[in-house]
Amino acid sequence: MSRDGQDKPHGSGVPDESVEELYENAPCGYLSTLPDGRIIRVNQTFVDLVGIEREQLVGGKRFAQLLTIGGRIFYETHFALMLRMHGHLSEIALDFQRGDGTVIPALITAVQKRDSGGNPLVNRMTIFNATERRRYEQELLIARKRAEEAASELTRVNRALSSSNTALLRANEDLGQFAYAASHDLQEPLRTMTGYAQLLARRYHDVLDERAQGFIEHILEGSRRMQMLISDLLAFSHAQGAQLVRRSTDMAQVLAAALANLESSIEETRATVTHEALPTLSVDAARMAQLFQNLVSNAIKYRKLDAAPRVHVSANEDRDGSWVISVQDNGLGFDDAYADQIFSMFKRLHGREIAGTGIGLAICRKVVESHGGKIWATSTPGVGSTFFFTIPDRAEI
Amino acid sequence: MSIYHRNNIHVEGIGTRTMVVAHGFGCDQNMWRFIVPAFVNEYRVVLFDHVGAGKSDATKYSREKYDSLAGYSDDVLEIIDAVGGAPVIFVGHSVSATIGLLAAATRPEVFERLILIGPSPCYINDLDYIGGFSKADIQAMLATLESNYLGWSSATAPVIMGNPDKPELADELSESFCRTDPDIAKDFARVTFLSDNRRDLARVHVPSLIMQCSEDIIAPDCVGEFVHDHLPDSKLVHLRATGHCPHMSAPQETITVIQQYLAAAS
Repeated sequence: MSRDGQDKPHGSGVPDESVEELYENAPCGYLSTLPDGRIIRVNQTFVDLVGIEREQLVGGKRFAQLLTIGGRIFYETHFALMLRMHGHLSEIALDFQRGDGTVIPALITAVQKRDSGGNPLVNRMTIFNATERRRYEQELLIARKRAEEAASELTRVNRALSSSNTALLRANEDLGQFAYAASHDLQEPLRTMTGYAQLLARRYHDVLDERAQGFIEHILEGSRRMQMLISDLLAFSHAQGAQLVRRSTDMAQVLAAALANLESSIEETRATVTHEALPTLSVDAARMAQLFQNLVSNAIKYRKLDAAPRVHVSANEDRDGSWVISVQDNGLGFDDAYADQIFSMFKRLHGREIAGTGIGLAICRKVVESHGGKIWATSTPGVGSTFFFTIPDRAEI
Repeated sequence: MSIYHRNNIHVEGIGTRTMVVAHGFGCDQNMWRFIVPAFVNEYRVVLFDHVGAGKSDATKYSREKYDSLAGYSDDVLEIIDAVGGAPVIFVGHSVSATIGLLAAATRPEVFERLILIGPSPCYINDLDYIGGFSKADIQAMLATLESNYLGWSSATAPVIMGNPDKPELADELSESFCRTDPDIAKDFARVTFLSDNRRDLARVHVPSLIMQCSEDIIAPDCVGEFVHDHLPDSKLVHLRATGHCPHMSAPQETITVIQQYLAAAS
């Protein structure tokens, strides 16, 4: 379109850049209003942007009437006031309601021209289509809200987690103390019962018939079992209670200490215990001795009746630098299906024919886990079992 | 004295009667600049900023206190007590008209007259009541606020610029006017535009003037009529000034109407 043909420099090859042409077809919308907001002039770019006839726009329409309702409120409560006070506004985000009913987001910069007395004469605005930018802003806003929500959710979850963690630790501690106190306090009355049962058997030996003596023997047998349970429980609560005392420890010496404790049963069953080279690790020596003692005593306890027990201890360094130590026997073995269950408290695969409390392997698991390791077993019934445990590399010296 | 600091109270004028002027949502006490000079000879004019607006102490803001207009009307009563001179002429624009009405319902004895510029007791349409907006409109307005409060718009951080036409207005005004804490402004917008104080009108017995602008989309004619019908002892005046802020767009007409009302009253 050409509204100003006169100014065009003919034939010079220079495109039409007259002031009027520039105003009408500038790459942004131009709009002027009286101070009360009535539109007095618009350019073609703005007409195209809002899709409303020029005659309608300059025929008494007010600027605010072109806006969405949300935009009108903002105009009345912020825009108009600030333009009056500052005489200038920049990059205000408002939405226009187009002639076809669609909404077009825009960025508006405005200046107010005033007379020498400071009275407003005319408001001039430039309008940029901000559709893409607004979409991006909205995404930013949504992302910020999500991030804020996620952060507060995280804080909430963390707080809940830390409080249940504290509760769990306390419960565990209480439980350990309870187990210790209970087993400790149970010993005293048990000793009394055992003592009087023995007195009864000794002093009234002549008075009591065989049946009565048999009953007393049952009482004493029960007491011995109970004594065993109590001392295992004490060992267990100790295994999970106190802090580890980690020192650089030669595992061969630890094994030797464990075997010394088992000397009588080793002799009695003519068991042989062999071992390969064992590493030096940063461990709690006393607990490791207990671990070896429990594993070797198990191997002897669950021996085959027709063969002397043979136990072999070996150690292998894993790819990640941790050590895997195994205790292999030629005992009764068990069905692999029970391989996980045997480490649970009071879980026993054998009946009363073999003495045991079902606590020994639970203690083993405690000791290994407190060192950050794992324990497991494989077995073939009638051939034997192998118990494995790991001690992570950080424990190594 | 902390109330002076909290609400950035300024007192101007040499008169004996006290006039308290209260700005509406979106601005601060500077919006009265074109009006105040006309009253300083006859009145002590008390200007202040609501907490969160202008140069008020935003640290005194609390969501609990200001989650209804009652929090703001309590402040107005404290301001009146602090500056003295009751009963006062109270001039409230927009939401501050409602805030003044609530204060006057609570303690009528500290008010001599209420001058309500563009009052609306309820902005949202409700059955046969026309407030001018639906809830969706208000949500859209809040979204517009949010877009303009992101930080790059001059709506929250006005450019500091000289004013070649009126240098005496210049820097100080530009610097502070409409400087609002964005989070508080969003809360204030919600409290303002979602409140319904229609039932409170009947509780106010202080004589009042309702100044109704032409073509005011925030407080349309029918709302002014509603206020007049339900507010005992009220007088309704229609202004030629258009829009929602006649004290800025048509200060002379606004001054004349207020002066005539006060002259007739005394």
